[in-house]
Amino acid sequence: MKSFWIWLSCVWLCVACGAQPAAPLQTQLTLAESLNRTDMTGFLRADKPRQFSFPADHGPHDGYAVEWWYYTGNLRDVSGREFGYQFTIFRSAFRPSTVNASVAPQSAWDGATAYMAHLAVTDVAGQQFFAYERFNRDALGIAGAQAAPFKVWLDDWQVASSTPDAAQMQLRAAHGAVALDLQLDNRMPPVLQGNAGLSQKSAGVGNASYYYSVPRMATTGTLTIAGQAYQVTGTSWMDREWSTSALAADQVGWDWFAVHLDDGSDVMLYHLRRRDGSIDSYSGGSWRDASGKVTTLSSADIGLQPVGQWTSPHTGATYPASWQMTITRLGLDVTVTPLLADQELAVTVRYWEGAVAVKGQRANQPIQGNGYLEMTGYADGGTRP
Amino acid sequence: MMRVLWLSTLRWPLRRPWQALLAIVGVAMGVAVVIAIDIANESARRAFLLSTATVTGRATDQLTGGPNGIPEEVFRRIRVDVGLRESAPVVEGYATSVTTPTHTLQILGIDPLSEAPFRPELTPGNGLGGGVAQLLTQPDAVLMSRGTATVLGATLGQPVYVTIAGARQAMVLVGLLETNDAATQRALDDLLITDISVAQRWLGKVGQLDRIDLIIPTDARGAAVRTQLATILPPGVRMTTPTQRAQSTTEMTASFEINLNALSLLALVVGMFLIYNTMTFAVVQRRPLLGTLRCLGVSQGEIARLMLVEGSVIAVLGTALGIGLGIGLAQLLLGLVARTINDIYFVVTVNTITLTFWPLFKGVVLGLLASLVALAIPTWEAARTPPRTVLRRSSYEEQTRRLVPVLGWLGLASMLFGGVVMWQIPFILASYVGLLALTLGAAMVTPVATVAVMALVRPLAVRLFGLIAGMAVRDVVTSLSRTAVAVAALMIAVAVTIAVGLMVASFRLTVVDWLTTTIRADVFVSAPAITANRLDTPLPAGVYDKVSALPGIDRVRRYRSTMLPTDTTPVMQIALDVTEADHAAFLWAEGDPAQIWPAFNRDAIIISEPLALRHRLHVGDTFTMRTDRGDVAMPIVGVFYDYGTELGVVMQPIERYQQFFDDPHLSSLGVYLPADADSEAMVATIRDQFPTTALLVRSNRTLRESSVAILDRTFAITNVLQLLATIVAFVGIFAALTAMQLERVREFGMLRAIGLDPRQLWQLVLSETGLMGLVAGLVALPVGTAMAWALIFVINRISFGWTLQFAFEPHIYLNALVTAIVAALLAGIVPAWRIARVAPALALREE
Repeated sequence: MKSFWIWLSCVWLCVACGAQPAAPLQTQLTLAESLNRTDMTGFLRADKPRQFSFPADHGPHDGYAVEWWYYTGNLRDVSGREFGYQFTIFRSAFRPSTVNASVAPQSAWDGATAYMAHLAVTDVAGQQFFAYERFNRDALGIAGAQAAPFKVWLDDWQVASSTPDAAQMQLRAAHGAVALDLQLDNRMPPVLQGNAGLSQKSAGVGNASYYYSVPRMATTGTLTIAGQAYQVTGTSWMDREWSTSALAADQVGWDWFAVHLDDGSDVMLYHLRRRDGSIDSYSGGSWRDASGKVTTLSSADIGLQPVGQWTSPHTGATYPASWQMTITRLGLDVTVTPLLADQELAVTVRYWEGAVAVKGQRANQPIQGNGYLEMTGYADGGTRP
Repeated sequence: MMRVLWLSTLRWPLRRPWQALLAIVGVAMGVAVVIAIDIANESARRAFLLSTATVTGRATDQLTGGPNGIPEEVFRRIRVDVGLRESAPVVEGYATSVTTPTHTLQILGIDPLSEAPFRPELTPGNGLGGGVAQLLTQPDAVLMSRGTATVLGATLGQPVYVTIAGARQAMVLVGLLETNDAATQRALDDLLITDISVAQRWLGKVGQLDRIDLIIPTDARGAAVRTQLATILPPGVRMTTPTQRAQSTTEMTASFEINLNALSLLALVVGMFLIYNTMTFAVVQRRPLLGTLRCLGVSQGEIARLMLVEGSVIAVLGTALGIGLGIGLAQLLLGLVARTINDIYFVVTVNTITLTFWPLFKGVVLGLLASLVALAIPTWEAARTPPRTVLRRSSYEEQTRRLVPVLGWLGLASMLFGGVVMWQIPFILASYVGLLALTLGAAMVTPVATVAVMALVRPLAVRLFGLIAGMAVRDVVTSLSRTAVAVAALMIAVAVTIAVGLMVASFRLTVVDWLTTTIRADVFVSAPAITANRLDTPLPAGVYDKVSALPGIDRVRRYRSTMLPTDTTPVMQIALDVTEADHAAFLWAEGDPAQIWPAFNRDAIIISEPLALRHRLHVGDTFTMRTDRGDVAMPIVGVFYDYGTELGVVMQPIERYQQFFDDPHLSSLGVYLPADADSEAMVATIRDQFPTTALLVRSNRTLRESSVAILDRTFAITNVLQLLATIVAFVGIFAALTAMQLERVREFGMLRAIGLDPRQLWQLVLSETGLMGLVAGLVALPVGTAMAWALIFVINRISFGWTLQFAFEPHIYLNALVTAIVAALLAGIVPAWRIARVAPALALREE
């Protein structure tokens, strides 16, 4: 489960049809408007649990309005230099593929789907953060997704598997100063989030997404920054989600945590913030222990407390500087601290997403780890609802 | 003392305001014509470059393809294989508004998601807003400037119609292109931004891109990208820079512009004569006054200064007025210039002139310089002459008459020099120098000719019209110092009229003959195109099969014409079916028909005469054609006469064309009918076959007529310039004659006193001016013919590469002669009327 802001920037293409022209789009869009105005007729809805099947479900689900392939990872080179990366490809349909456009598609560019991709790299020692964004439509094969063999790509940015079972994934993306060329091991069973993969986001049937994660993918490869190549190893997290509409009008942002702990367990938590500042009861998460046993967490199980403030020099937006994460059921109490304060993405819809260090206690034993944190809905100036 | 001097100088023009005014108008007209042409050309060129720059954006490089563009798969390879994100596909074309008057609108099909680095002003609202998103999601959505929306009557969200390739197309305005920059705003006018899928569909270019814009950095990565690109580009796709591309397009009009400039310079030459005439006259008239002043002790330098100041005032006022007039005139000429460019060269949408520094600067310099040069001789003359002689008019006339033969010889030498230069030096600039030498030489010969003609005419005039006529003849000769320049100016103007008239007639004759030879099919089928004489718009698929299958048809000839890029200006490529029956449609400048056709059918090409001249190609040479299979050197086996385009034509069999180019399209069909068939009926039959397709179906006669109409249209601007030169000359002759006659008020008063009645006075004045018109007209006949010869056989050939037949048109000569005499007579009316009105006693009173 990921940012509705990113989700929102994906739906702009649909929403734009109803928006008034000649004014910047973002200023017109509030979440509520986008949801109310977007005609989602004809799209499939995530309205009941489904049977997941892999590797087929790594591929696209064209009947749904939006979908994403989300990779984050914490890496280190041989000398211990720490890096983080985020690579995401979003799919967003202009119109239901089942509905014929008023013009019969004659041109290869008459595609019904847009793709957006974000690439971000954090160089902790170098105190550098790089973020890039790309858009394409699914024309001519300049962007797309397929199940067998697994591949999702936009231009030359891609994650692909050369084998039918998608046991290994190659992630390749380069832009500006940075380049990623990573091997991701995909041999652990995915974690189905929410109710067996149906993740309810707000009240109402269908206001949910299908959501699974592969939390711990052993990763090796090369990370290049400004011509300097680093041989890196580490752990990546893959999040997969597709839906047609999910969020409610008063959900204004969220905070998402994906944490690898050094006891071999992985935690995913998110909480949805409401306009009045309260935390939505549809917040939740999951815990997978080292043995692979998954525990679903409800909003009552989790405590997420922002600590301090960091104000972005780029947007002026103020984000929590770090977080205190408690899961009473598991006796977990850790602080989540960004490895670099400034990991705000300068993309169409601004958000903060970056590598974090985790440190604290579990059942009174010291525990630590790393992971990724995403904070959305904080940036001001035209992008705030 | 100096103050008195200035006042006396000031008084002169004040007492003769019309004379000063005419001098100012003379300067103004000359300057106006020159800058108007310059501004019109420059505006068209700038409009083209600006719109090119706007649609090119920040691209550093461009990929362009053959006639069928670039296969769009190339774009995928650039993005996915080479990984060059800064690449943007473009599909371009043109639409016509259904408004009156019609506007040509440029369609720019883009991928909004690739645009951001290239054309930020075309994707407003931070790249995604302002309707850009709707381009992707809404069928037939367009963006346009507010100005264009107003012209088209388009409102947001509402459908509006345009014509694309002859067919009506609905589109929906989803956003306005707005910018704070006035220049960019102008470039955005007449531009329709749409999604690439829509443009492909509208323009029949599904599967192809017209170009791919690239931003390639100059660093090592850029070098690597270039290397990689080279490996993936198919042979027909080339990399060029936007500047190169725009340049080679604008260079297409170079000859056209040079010729317009030359014509405008002719107007300036006529204008210079006017100024010279006016200033000479001002000095000549004032010789007594100047003489008196000299006697009173005013120095030569002071006299010169006086004259210069006065002349400068006229020059400055005239130039200023000329700039104003020229700007207005430019707006009028712009339409003609733009139409010619659209008819012949490329599409340019320009509705308003752009004022830039250089044309105005050129106008100011030319106006002032020409005035001062024209002023220098009379000033020098006035200052130099000893006061005693100055006071005696006869001395001046004597001096002038002594000068006449010298001037005549000089003139002959100048004409000879001009002829030799044009004959021997095959460069356009030399040709114009030669033409100028010829013209000035002719002007210098004019006084001799005047004396000679008068000597011839006098006995006849006396016998036929009596004493008054004889007096008139004598007067023309005795006042040569005042008449010569006016006559020369009129002569040059009339000669220009003859020359341009003959040139246009020759061109027309040649082209009409050529059209009759080459246009042989009975019915022609083509797709409507914006550029009238270029047929690169493909015919809709299936037209050929359907037409071929019609009953009552002998055969159908296929044509495919495309623009072929070269290292310099593009060349027209025509691929066609040639059977034995078609051989007679070619006239050969070079090559043996017996050998041409077998070789043509084997592997050779034939080229047009302009191409041969321009690239110095002959039979036996090769022409390197950029094909979709790479560069192919094709042997040239024949050079044919062609007057379709000065850019040059290469012709090859259509089968071979289709081997070398991935282009299955046809541009036009020539339908041949049995001998007794009714071609107009077949036109109707073919039209009925395609009720919903936009097709141009024309009979042989209609096509020929419309071709001639286009030709005539391109000469519209020439005719306007010719008319302007005539007007300038008329103003000159009017000014000169009026001044001259009015100066003789006292003389006429004397004549009246000794018994001449007003009717006879009218006769005298009009006879004099009429005779001057006659001389000018007579001299203009050979001079105009010589200039026409230069234009037709030297200048046209160098700039366009055409061999023209000389059209001897007696009516042009007759018109010129009548024009000269009528202009001169008209110029005599005002003075005659004024003089005849004055009571003799009043006229005799000196001061």
